[in-house]
This record gives sequence, structure tokens and C-alpha cells, in this order.
Amino acid sequence: MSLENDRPESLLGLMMALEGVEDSYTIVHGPTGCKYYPASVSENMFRDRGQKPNARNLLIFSDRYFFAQPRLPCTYLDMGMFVTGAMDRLEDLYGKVGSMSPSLIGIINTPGASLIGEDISDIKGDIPTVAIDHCRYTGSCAEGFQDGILAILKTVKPEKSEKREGVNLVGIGMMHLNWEDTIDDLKGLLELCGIKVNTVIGAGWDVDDIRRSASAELNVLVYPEYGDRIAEFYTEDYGIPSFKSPEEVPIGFASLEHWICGICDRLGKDPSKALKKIKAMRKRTASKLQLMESMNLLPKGRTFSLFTDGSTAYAVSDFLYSYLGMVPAAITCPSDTPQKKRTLERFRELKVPFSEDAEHIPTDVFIASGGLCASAMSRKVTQGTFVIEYPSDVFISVSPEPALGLGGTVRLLDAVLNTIAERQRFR
Amino acid sequence: MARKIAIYGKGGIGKSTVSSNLTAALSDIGTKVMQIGCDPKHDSTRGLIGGKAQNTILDYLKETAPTDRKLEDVVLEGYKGCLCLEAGGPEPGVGCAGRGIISAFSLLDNLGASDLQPDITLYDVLGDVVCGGFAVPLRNDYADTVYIVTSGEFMAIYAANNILKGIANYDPERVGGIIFNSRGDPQEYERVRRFSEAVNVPIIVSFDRSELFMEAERQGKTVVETFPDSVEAEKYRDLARKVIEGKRHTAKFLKEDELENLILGRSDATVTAKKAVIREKIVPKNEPYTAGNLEYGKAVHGCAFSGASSACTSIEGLTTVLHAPKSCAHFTVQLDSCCVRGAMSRGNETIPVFEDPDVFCTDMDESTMVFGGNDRLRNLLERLVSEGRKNFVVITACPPGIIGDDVTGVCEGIESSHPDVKIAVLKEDGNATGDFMQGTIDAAIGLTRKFSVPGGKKPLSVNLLGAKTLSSYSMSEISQVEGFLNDLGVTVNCILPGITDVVGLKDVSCAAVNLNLSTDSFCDRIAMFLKDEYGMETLTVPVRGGIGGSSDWIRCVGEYFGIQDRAEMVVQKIKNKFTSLMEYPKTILKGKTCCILTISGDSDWVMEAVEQSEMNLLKGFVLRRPDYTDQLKPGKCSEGLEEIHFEDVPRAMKEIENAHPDILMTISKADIDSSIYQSRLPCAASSDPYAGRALAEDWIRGMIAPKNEGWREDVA
Repeated sequence: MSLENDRPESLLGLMMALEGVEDSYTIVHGPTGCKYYPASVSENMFRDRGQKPNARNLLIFSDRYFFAQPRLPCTYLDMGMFVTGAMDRLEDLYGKVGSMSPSLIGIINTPGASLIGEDISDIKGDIPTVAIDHCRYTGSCAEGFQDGILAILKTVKPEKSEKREGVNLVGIGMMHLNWEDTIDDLKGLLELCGIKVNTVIGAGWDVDDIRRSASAELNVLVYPEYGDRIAEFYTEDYGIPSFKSPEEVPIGFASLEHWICGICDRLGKDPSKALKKIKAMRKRTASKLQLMESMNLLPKGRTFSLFTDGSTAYAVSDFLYSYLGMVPAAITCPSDTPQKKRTLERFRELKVPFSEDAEHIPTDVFIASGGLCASAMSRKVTQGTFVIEYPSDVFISVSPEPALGLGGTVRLLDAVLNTIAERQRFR
Repeated sequence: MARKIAIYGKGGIGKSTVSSNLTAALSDIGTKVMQIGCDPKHDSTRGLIGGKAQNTILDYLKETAPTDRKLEDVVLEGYKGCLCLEAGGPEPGVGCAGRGIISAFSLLDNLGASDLQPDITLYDVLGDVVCGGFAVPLRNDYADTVYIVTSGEFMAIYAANNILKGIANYDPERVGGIIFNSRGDPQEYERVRRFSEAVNVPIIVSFDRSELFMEAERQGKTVVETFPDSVEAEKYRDLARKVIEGKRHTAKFLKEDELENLILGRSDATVTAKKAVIREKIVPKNEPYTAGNLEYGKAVHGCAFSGASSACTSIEGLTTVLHAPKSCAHFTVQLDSCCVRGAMSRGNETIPVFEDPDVFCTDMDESTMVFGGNDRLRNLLERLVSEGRKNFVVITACPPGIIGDDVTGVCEGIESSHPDVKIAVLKEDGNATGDFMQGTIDAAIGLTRKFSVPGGKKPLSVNLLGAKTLSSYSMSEISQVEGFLNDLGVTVNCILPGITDVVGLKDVSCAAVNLNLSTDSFCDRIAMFLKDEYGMETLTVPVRGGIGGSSDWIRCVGEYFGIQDRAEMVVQKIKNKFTSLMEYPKTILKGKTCCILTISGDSDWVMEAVEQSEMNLLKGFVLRRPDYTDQLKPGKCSEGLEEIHFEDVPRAMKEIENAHPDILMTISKADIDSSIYQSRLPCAASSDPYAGRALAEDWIRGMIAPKNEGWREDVA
């Protein structure tokens, strides 16, 4: 029994890579069954896209191709077209999308359509077009995402630049929970160190950003699984070095400090202002924990379970274990990545027993995507959850809710500490 | 400049002999050639590497982890340094050879084959079927010149003509010429010559039948290498010079009757075959229970794979196996997951099994697409059986249908080796059988056929047909219907197509009668099936929301079971409650004006609330979307609504704006004066008799709220 299929996979990652370009349109060459769900994800995860109108509306998008959704128009193939092909329809839709004047058009063959073997790369117009002949049929979201970004970079080639300034954030996409808030949080910390973010590769950038993305001094990885191959591309083709934090993703005080210091070290910048800000939050947190201690409600010895990507699992488990003294009940990282290996090996070396079945092992706090958290709650595997990955269960959030960075760390602390306190207070 | 050429021809025509001899001749004059065999029988390069079979790219793809793959593992060095590769293909009868070509080329691209920098890349391609996969070398990125090998036999020329058609679909000005390879028939040159003239593509070389080819093959070599002084070798050297020269012609092709006329000399266009007279009574084997979504030109909404999956995963005790790529599994499982989250956030009960669905996916990958997914499916089922599972449903996505996996055979094999195991097979093949709704119908039918056991009728019991598993209101609405039935003394036997358990499925045919949960067509199809195969009757009035709708179906149940008095009591109770619930809304809403813009044909429950509140309806529109299967006829209250189509929306908007109602009840945000309060209407009708009251609540709040909210002033 597995909830693994609840997590995003390579086709969604690929689609979100193309949809992450603000002034683009992506065509799904395939049946509507491959369109409805990702189109709703694209709409929900990138609501502030420049193009208007951009919300589901039966009165505006009710025609064929869009089927009431503003994103990911689709050629709605049926089985007959899997035999005969559907280039005419694709060309017609391509023309319609072109008339909406995007700066980039993506065409993605769905798994079934890719078996027809139509030459979708043959469709050309004045607008740069990225044609993905076939996706990975079964792969991780991170793999699909990077496939998509690399395909974009092959079409819209970044311009070589003599003058290099600032950093690019790499390895974050619009399928990441509250990605815009996370970027703002990390940008804020970097700005305190006098570091400008040149562009965010893959999340909310536009075609101009893509073209000038090779003018950064350093590529900084956010979620390493989602950016390592992209960073390698920039190193090989443009000589831009990259930085990956030893703690994988920037969440948790120590991890965040290492992330900041590592970047400043590479660029010769002073991290003290950002560190001061983190230290202030450390002090505030410590005083709250003292308060909890006075009520004998400390999280020490309480359990957590993680069902996340390896890099998130590494940083979060390290923070909860080292900083709060919590212990893992279970850790599940579905894709086999070096980050997963590191996470599991560390606790084995520490001789901390844990299960790899986060779905079914009872725990105090369950940390995962919104869907898995809802499932865990309704199955009573846990009494408290924390959503750290897409898909979320929040529709709109006015207050910034970063998943990483200092805000992400505080958000994690609030959820975990309140869950722990609530569970014990009335017993 | 590096050249890329393709040699196409019918299977067995001698393409590989031509290709390998051409490569040898080109190599003799110092050209660096890379020959890529694109035929599943993978013998294209044999004559260049000493007659040995070469490991194919696709075998390598299957056996080697992505991180371990290296170009040198699939490239052999042949005669005079030429580079030899074989794409290979699946075993006969499984997988997709065309897809294999695409996968092999993709792997070569990824491994950097172009960095080998040959002067000429030669693709030797099977041309019997110029499907998408085998047409890849015709694409502009691949061959710049295409040569066609043919003999004078009709089928070989037919294939040549097809290849020209394929080239014409891409860039037509890339035909290098025809290579005539004689089979020994004295008339055949003439036939090829006529064809050559008709399509305006010259015969650039002719090879007579010769024992030298056989002898060279016996030695595992080419004629060019074995008999360099022969006439044949000289012809190949001449061909090599022509290839280097690279003269190209435009692809023209003949229509089928023109070709037959030209080659076979047939001019019998007037002859028509008679239709066969079939005297036996033949019953069509196609399913009559289709939702009408596969009509020509109609869009298929969602896929049957997903609909079937959603229905099946809601059944307790049933293991759902999705024979699909992971992407299909994720897209469909997400629907269940969204339902759980939606129900939780709305405080409704979720479908219990969705919280921990017993769903598995075969995770079809690149290799499965080429070599077929039978083994992968069998292995997964065997593992699940060994873990103690007994009741399965296997549902197929698009790829297994396209590559032709034998899903039924695999499942029957498992059942025969495990007699206590039952596997229902739903060959949906993505959307091949229809849309999402069709999948739910197919699930109800397939599971009933597999798991139901005929038994005695249970008096005063009904099956509920047409449960919408993905609605986060399903559980609460079904409970409410069940509550009214219980008030009548009637029990629910089974719910289809989901929200039940395997035990419930066994008893499907035991219900006294069926009751449709909505007027949607999929309820009718399931009812038709139960009538045809189990002789079960279905009540003529389906469950509907609102007071009128609810009264109708409850009275119908009462009449069927002869408990009219009890039914009348329940109806009166509901009516009284609704009247009392609407007392307060009336005090606020009386005299207010409204307009309606809906897509649902069943708006009676909305109109009842409007009437009960004593509001004035100024304009009402039902937006019809021809692609959507909505079988509803407007009820009596809905008669005042005008049917419009998408192109009429601007006109309707204008009329609404001119009418300037207090409230617009609409399915989507309308771009009109923001001082008109827009109250959201659900897209689907509810089965709740009191649903109109919930809408009225919203209308009241809209009326007592300020006309213009403060935030609007902050909009830039």
C-alpha cells in the first residue's frame, strides 16, 4: 500500500518547468486527461502571473483547447488520433496560442502522444518554441523539472556576459510550496549581505530573465535535486560556479547560517547582518522554548515523521533532531537520491532507530505534502501535521508563508511546537 | 559538411546488403561512416563486423542503468574504421518497435553520438510501415537525403511509394534516388522504371541478382570487401560517389489506384465488390453502455482510465493496479487526494478508502514502451498476491493500449495459477473507451461481472446507482438519501460504481430495485446493464435535489414498494422544514431582483429558493456546452431560463447589466458592474432537498454586506 503516487512526478515537473516562465504558454499535445489536473496546478501555484485573466472561468475559457482553464491548452487527442496523428490540430492550437503573443511556447507530448512519433519539433513560428518529444514516463518531479529547464535553455540561449553580478537561485520551481514567499525570504537575507539575486532560474522568470541568466557570479542551489544538472549546465557552458549548502536546503537556523556563510564566502561578502537577524530569531525561539520548558512541554523526545524529497528531509530532520531534540519515527524519501542516502545514513550512524514507512508509523508530527498530511490526519497516524511540500491545502495566503529560509524555519517551529504543546497540555 | 542519409525499403528487399556495401565503398575512399541499423532484426551492420550479431542499443537501454550508460558500449568499429550501431527492437508480438527507434535515437543523442563526427551517418531503416517511429530518420534533424531500395515486385514498389509519402510529409526535397535491387524477374526493371518516371525520381543504380552477395554473406563480409574487383563492387563505388555528390529530388507519390494501374496494369476502377450477405444473426460485441462521448468530433473529457480508477479505489477490499506510467497514476490518484482534502476542509466525511488507497502502479518506463509491459504487470501482480491480496482490478492507461500489451492474458495467467484470486480487467487504454464518466460506468460493469454472485432478493432494498466518488459532498449526500430511505423502511443494498466493499459487490443483484442518484447519463447506462444481465428494474424517477425533486423520488420509491402513506409523510416533513427554513430569507430577500447564469439543466432547486424568497427573476440563462454530456431536461421551474451558447455570453452579460439586478447567481465571475452582488452557483445540482436554503443564506449575506468593499479602492 503506498501513497507515493500522491507526490508529483516527472511529467508534472516538466510541465511546471515550462509553466514557470511567466510570459510563456505551454501546449499539451495529448488527451484532456493529461491536462485538467496540471492546468489547475499551474493556475493555483502561479496565480500572480502577469497575463490576465488567469483564473478558471467558464464564461471566458469555455472553448475547445482550454476547456474552462486558463493554462495548458490541449489538443484533446482521442484514441483515433493516436493512430492517425493530430498535427493539424496541434498546428491550429499553436496558431491560437501564438496570437496571444507569449514570449515562449512550450509543446509537451503526453506519454500516449509520444508513442505516435509525430515530429512536434517541426512546428515553428516567430515565437521561440520548446518542443518536448517525450517525457520520462516514470521519473521524479525533480528529474522532469530539470529536463524542462534544460530544454528551455537549449532554445532560449542565455547570453554570455562579461560583467557578472549577483547570484541566481537554482532548483526551485512553481511546484514548490509557497515558492514566491520562499524566494522573497531568501532574497531578503542575501540582500542583507549585499548580494543581489540576478534571476530565479525556473520559477517566475521571463524570457528576458532567461537571456540574462548567465550574467550572475554564482548559482546557488535551493532544492539541490531540482537544480544540480541545471547548475552543471551553467558551469560547463558559461563557467558560472555553483554553491550547494552542506545541509542541502536552507531551513533550520544552522543550515541557514551555513547557506548564507557559504555564499558570502564564495563572493567575498560580509554575512554579519543576515547572521544577526538569524541570531535574533534564535534568541526569540529560545525564550519561547524556555517558556515551554517551564510548562514541561518541551519537544525533546517527541517524534516526527517525514515524507519528503531527500534534501528537505535532510535539513528538516537535522533541525528537529539537533535543535529541538526530537527523534524521527519514520522517514520516507520516495526517490533514490544522494540526499536520501545522506539522511538515512546519518540517523543510522547516530544509532537512532526509525522506520522508512512514514505512512503508517504513528508519530507526534507528520511533515509532508498537503495530500499526505490530510491522509495521515484522517487515518489518525498523527495528531499534528505540517505541510512542507506541494500540494498544499491552502488556497490563498495573504501573509507570507515561506517554506524555507528564516520565515520557513519559524513557520516550521510554530507548527511543530504548537502541535507538541497541544498534544501534551491536556493529558 | 557532415551528411546524414537514410536507406529505406521494404523488409527483405536487401536494404542491409545495400547499406553495408555502400558503407564499405564509402570507407574505401576515406569517408568516415557511422551506420545505424533501424530494423528490429538488427543485422544491418553484420557484413561490416565479420558477420557477428551486435548488441543492440535497445537491449542496452533495457539492461543498463542510466548512470552507467556509455557510448562506447553500443558502438563497434567495423570495416576500415566505420562505426556500427544497431537500434534493435522488441521480441515479435510485444512492445512497440517504432517507439524503439525513437528511444534508441534519444539515447544516442544523450550519449553524445553526434560528437563522433562521422562524415556520413547512414540510417538503414525498415520501410514497410512508415509510422511515427520508423519515420524518425525522415525528420529534418536526421537524414538530409533519403534513398529508396526496391525490387520490381508490387509490394516493394508499394512500400517505396509509401516512403515517398512519408518524405512528402516532412521536407519533400530530400530524395536521393531509387536503388533497384533485382530479384531476378526479367519484367521487374520495367515496372520500377515506370514507377521512377511517374514519381520523377531517377533510378541511380541497378543491381542484378548475383551469387557474390550470398558468398560474401557466408564469409560475414560485404561484396565490396570480399570481391573488390567485381562489377558489383564497382557499382557500389559508383553509388558512393553519387551519395557524396548528394543530388536530391522532390518526393512525389502516387495514389493507390494510380499505383495499381501503373504497376499491375489494372484499370478496373468501375469494378466494385458486392457487400457480403450475412445470413447468421450476428450480435455486435461492442459494449452498448457508452455515455455517448465518442461521437465524431466531440472532445473526450478526462479519461476512462481515471474514472475507472476513482471508482475502483473507493471500494474496500479491492486492490487497484494501474498499468500505466507514473504520471498517469499521479494525475489520477491526485483526484482522490483532492477529494479527501476538499471534504476535510468542508467538514464533510471522506470516502474512507481514499485516505489510504490500496493502489499500485506498474510505473511503465521507456524500456516498457519498447519491450512491452506484460512482465512488469505480471511481476507486480505476483508480488501483491504473495502479500495476501486476493481481489484485484487492473486498469490500463493509454500506453499499454498503444503498444498492445496482453493485459487480459497476464491476468488470466495469474488467476489460473492462484485459484482464489480474482482479477477484473478494465481495458480503458486511457481515453480509448471514453471519458471519465465512461470509466466509472466500465468500473461498475466490470466489477459487477467479476465479483457479483446471484442470490435471493432482499425485500425493501435498493441499489444506489451513480455515486460520484470525486465529489467531496458524496458521502454526506448519500447519507442523506439513505436517511430518507430508512425513514421509509427501505435499506441500501449496494452503491455503484464505488463507495462500497467487495462483499457489497457480491450482493449487487440481490436488491429489489435500483435507484439512480442523479439524472446523469452514466446512471442510466449502469441501470441498463443491470437490467440486461440481471433483469433488475430501476425506478423511473432519479434522486434530485430541491423540494420538487426530492418529493418526486421519495414518492416513486413509496409507490414501488407500496408504502405511499409513509412516503407522503416523509415528503410533508421535508416540505414543512423547507418552508420554515425559508421564512427568514424571505424577510430579507422579498422584492429583491435577481438574474441567473448557470450551466446546469437542473436549476429547479435554485428557482424554488428564488420563488420561496419571493424574489423577482429578471433574466435567466443556461449556458449550453455541446461537448459536455448533460442529459437533463429542464424541470418545470427551469422553463423560464433561456438556453444560450458560448458565443451568446457577451449578449447575456449586456442584458444582465442592463437589468441591473440586486443579485446575479452565476457559475463563474461575470465581468459586470461590481456593485451587483455575484453569488456563486455550483456547476452540478445537489441532491439535498434543502440546498436552496444554503444558497439563500449566501444571498442574504450579499444583501446586508456593503455594496462596494473597501479593498477595491486599493486596486492599482
